[in-house]
This record gives sequence, structure tokens and C-alpha cells, in this order.
Amino acid sequence: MGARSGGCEKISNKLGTEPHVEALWDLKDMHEYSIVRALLDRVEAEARTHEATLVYRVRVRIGELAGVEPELLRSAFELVRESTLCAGAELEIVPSAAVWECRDCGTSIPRGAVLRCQICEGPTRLASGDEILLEQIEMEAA
Amino acid sequence: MCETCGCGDPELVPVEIQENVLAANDLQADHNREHFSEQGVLAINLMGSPGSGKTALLEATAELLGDQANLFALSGDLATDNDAQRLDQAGIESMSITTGSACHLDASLVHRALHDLDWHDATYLFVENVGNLVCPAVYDLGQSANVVALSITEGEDKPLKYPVMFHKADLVLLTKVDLLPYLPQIRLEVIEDALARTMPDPQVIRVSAQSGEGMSDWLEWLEKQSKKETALVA
Repeated sequence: MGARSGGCEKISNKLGTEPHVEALWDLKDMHEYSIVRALLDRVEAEARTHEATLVYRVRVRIGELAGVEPELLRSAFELVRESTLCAGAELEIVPSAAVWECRDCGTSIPRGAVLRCQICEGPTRLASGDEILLEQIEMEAA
Repeated sequence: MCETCGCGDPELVPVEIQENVLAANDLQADHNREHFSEQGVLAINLMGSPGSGKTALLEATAELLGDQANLFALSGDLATDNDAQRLDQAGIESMSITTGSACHLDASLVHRALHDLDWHDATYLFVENVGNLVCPAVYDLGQSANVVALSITEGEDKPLKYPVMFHKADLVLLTKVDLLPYLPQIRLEVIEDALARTMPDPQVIRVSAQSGEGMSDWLEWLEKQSKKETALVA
């Protein structure tokens, strides 16, 4: 891809994928592990901006259809947080239920029903329930 | 320091973020998407269980299309490059992405592989994801569409059991329908009802790579998507 690689490297560098720790057990194979790594990268960057010395609590919102298992996320967090500013931090997981609604008229669709609007028969969309959202960090300011 | 009472205790500061944890992956995915749309290439993220018939579907696709389209593929595999070899033999220029033990592809793995494959003349670029009905759905790769291969031998209730995968699917290919006579317990309409409860705008095609049933509908779907993609470029 020759000529394009300049722009690509710029993006790759921005992303940075160095792991915090070299965890050597099965959890590393779970995608919850890579989600926690991304989470901790973001939390640490934010903590540095605020010159914080410690992070007390990290609050995330996890949707029912996010494909993230809260218990696995918690285990991964406990594993990866060592040697980071989050070493003693609590992970608060706020669950979020799947809510479907009509794309056109906004009518909500009952749980488990066929995903088709019962009023206007239009297709539906997920109003909420697929989030993997970092909501809030509680840190100790310098 | 605590400024409220001057006690000397450190001050706890809550910082609101409200940001997608996978924002870095999404940024990389958008970058990949830009590459694809600049070239007018239709990129398909093909997902499904191990053994659902993803590779066989692509082989049959290549056979039917012949010289009518340039096919390229990136193939995610835990340990081997068998799929990429099969695809190469079928005339699809392929690159294997060996993920080690990781259960899915992410946008940066795809991006790295794109540098090693001269895909720019592609009509269709298939990203054959790691066989898995959960994790691959979580990561945007920069694709134009998600296609899920669901074989009828997997049972009737898979869409309800794995809604995360199916709610993100733009198209579900019900594969191996030639086996239906041998599976008296499987009712296709029950599978399709389950899909209607998990897909917001269900598009389903019954196919068999073996008998060729439904393959023309699949090719038609691809062509329609490709036209949309090139219309965006123009």
C-alpha cells in the first residue's frame, strides 16, 4: 500500500496496543480482556491529565446486547488493574437493558416480540442496550 | 488537598467521561472504512460458528462469479491458515490472520493485513472472521455489511441464544439447506421466526454451497450492496 502507509502509521501510533501486564491465563483469550485493556488505557490517560495519583472507582455502563459478560469483565479488570493507577479501584458496572423501538414512529417493541412495529409495520432500531461506555472515573486529585 | 475543611485528606474528584470504551477500535475501523470506500470496494465481515460453512460459501461464490468479479479475502483463524489456502485455491486472493488464541478480529488486525494484500482492485473483500457466535460481533472492522452464516444443523434457537451476533447482522445466510431432508427436527420457519425477533430489519437467504440453491439470490444481494458502495464514491 506504499504511498498510503504514512497516514496509516499515524493512526496506528495513536492507538497503541501495549498490554499493561503479561497475564498468562485463559482470560487473556476472552474479548473482555481486551476491553479492559482499552478501558484502563483510557482511564490512565484521563488520570494523567488531572495529575491524579490514584483511581478509586471506575463506572461503566454495559448493555444487555453489548456482548460483554459483566463477571468476566470484572475478573479481567481485577487481573489487569495491578501495577496501574487503578490497582485499588472498584469497577462499578451499570447494566442497561435492550430497548427496541420503531425507526419511523418510535413506538417501543415488547421484549421478545418480533422486531417489527405493531403500529406502522416499519423496521426497528435498538434505542439502547449495546453500550460499552466509560461513564465516570473517581480519582484522587493531586 | 481537601479545601472544604482543610483536613489534609486527598480530594476525590469525579470526572464524567461518557465515552465508548472501544473508541480506539472504532477510530481504526473508520480509517479502514475510508480505505474501502475510496476504492469502491465492498467489504463484508463474514461471521458465524465454526463449521457453519463460511469458507464453503466463499468457494462456491468464487466458482459462480468466475471472472465477473475480483474477489479478495482476509481470513481469521486461531491456529492455521487452512481457510486462506482453500480460498486461494478457489481463486480468491487471500491473506490469513492468525489470531493465536484470540476469539475475534479487531480493526487493527485487519488494517495490518491490508498492508500485506494488494486488494485495491477488489470488487468484494471478504473478511472471514474467527468462527465464533459472540465476540466477533463486538468489534467494528470497517466493513460495509455484516453477514452471518448460520447452518441449519446448528439448531433452531441459535438466534435467540446469541442475539448479540444477530442483532448486528445485515444479512443472515441459512446455510446447508440441502441437508434439510435429513433433519426432520429442523423447521426453517422456526429459525426465521427467531431471526425476526433478533434482527431489526431481517434479511435472510436460504443457501446451499453444495447444491447451489439460493446462491443467485446471495450474488444479487452482493451486487446490490456493491452498487450502493460505488454510488457513494461517485
